[in-house]
Amino acid sequence: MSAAKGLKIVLAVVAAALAHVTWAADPIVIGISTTLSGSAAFQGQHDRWGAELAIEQINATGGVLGRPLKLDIQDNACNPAEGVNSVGKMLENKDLVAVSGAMCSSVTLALMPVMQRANVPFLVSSSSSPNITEGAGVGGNTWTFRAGPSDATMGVALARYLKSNSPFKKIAILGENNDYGRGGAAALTGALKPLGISVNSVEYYDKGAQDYTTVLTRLKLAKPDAIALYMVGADQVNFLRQYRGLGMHTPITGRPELDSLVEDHIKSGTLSGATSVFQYSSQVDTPANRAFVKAFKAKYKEDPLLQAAITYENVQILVAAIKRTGTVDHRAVREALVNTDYASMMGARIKFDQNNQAHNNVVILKVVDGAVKVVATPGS
Amino acid sequence: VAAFILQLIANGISMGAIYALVAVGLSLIYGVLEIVNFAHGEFLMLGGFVAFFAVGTLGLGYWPAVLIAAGAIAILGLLLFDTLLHTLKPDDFQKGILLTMGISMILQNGTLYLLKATPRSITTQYGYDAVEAGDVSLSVLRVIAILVALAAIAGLHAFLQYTRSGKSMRALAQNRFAAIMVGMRPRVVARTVFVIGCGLSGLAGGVLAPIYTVDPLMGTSYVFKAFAIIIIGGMGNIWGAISAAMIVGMTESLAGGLGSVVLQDALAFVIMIAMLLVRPMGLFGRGMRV
Repeated sequence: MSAAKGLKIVLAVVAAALAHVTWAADPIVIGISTTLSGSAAFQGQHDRWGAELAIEQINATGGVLGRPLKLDIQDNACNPAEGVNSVGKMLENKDLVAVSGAMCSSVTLALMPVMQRANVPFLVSSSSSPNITEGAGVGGNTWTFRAGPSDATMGVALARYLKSNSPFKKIAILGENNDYGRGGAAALTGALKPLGISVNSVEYYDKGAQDYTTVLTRLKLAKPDAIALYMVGADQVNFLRQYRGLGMHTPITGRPELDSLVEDHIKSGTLSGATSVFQYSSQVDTPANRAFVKAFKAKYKEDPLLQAAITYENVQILVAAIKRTGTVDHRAVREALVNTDYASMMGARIKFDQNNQAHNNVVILKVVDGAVKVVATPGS
Repeated sequence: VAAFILQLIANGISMGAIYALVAVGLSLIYGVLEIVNFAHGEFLMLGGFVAFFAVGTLGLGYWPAVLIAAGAIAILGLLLFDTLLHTLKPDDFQKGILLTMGISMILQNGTLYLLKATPRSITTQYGYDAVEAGDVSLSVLRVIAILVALAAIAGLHAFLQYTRSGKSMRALAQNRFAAIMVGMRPRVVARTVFVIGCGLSGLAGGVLAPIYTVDPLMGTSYVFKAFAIIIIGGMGNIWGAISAAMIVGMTESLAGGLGSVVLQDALAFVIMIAMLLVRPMGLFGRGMRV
């Protein structure tokens, strides 16, 4: 071997080693598809914050497999077509390990086949449509995992609570005209019927609508004992303002978001007696949740919403799976996710069933004396 | 059931008035300047935020807040006209669309960046009071919205009909060439029109803010419906826009109440398509006949 050839080999080896070193320091990318525009952008912001807080904490303790974590956050505008675009770029990134999304159920359902074709693990964020569970796991989409509860199990939890704690005999349902609203309305109707509570009116509205006078006039005519809401963000605030403006007092139930956005209505008594079944509450009294709420408030000056909590835990679950398998290979991570056993801040352990659906605890919230209280934390 | 129908009619009138208030400024700007102002919804949104800060931060009452909103957006219109829009030539139709769309995106995303997506609510001295007549009730704020819409339309009509500045606007809308021939200065007239149009959309934002909520993306939901309305009424015809707004408001309320609420939002566009098929120039045809 000539000296020149020897030197070439040495240089090649050194170059390869250097390349490996830089590769090892390359960040591991987690894709986040969420709603950063439109009437649910407020919730999407919390989705994003939950992910950002999680990777900040993980990176502060040395990252994963010696590599830092990085987010690729894209807006899906709560629209299935935009949702598919939102992951298109992410999927071309060789450092992408998994995607968490897509907040809106309709978008999540549109992304499931895309993620399956790409063979990339997909952790469902706060989407609660029962159709997601039906399509995931054994015999279906094995790349989709949902740590949060579905509206089917939340509907059962709420129906049981209302049966034993309320005098309601007939309930009207108002939902978004999409997979969330329609799925939620169907799930609640199915859960109430066997318990002897009837559903006497089901109304849908187009997401982002400003005016609810027509639907309120119809609800007034139906005279239900309670109105169950499946609506989020600005829509719900608008609805409640107009509900109050019409002087209505029919109790609210379903899944209203009893958060800082409607504080005014909680304090004023407009929402007095309202109940809600939810995936999460910042009031849940577990050490893990207290620590999360404290860190979140210190960074963002707001109490975390469920979107923040679920995406925060999604990142933790994913990181735990990567650590268990010791690689970022998509298939290996998916296999590792199947064996997840994670202690959720909601108090239950997250383990995926054969439909890749976890059964975390849910909360029943109630507005009592101008404040929101956790009145039950049933399993789902 | 009679009370139910009456309530739907009352709702329809209030929705129609709100649409009219939003559409009239858009129609005015198109009628005289032939600029399709895609930033109209964002002016409305900014008017809403001005009212929000006037009430929430400065602690002002309803009326000062609404007037400040109209004034602030009129000033914004003046600044935008003198920096950007005056460069548009009369036949720069596409350039006008691109320019106003660009302004719309900058305003929307700028507001989103600065103020976040959190929807804000304003509670004024009128609170959640309602005016009741039998079984029909309408919130005080909606009654005020109807009155403000009427006053704004009457004021605009008087301005166009009786003032020199208003007459020159009509002249320019009817025959631009002849108007210039007799010594009218198109830029001055155009500026006044744009400022009034913006002021009206700020006024609409201020009036709507306490009824609904204010957030950076609220403009979009109004602007497309307002476009449908001015197409139904005849592009650039103010009376057409007002009639179309009432037709759309009433149809939405009745069809939504008696049929299905989900179809409500599509109705304005269904009427628009039907109008384009049957009478492409709109209810009142093109041109501004006031």
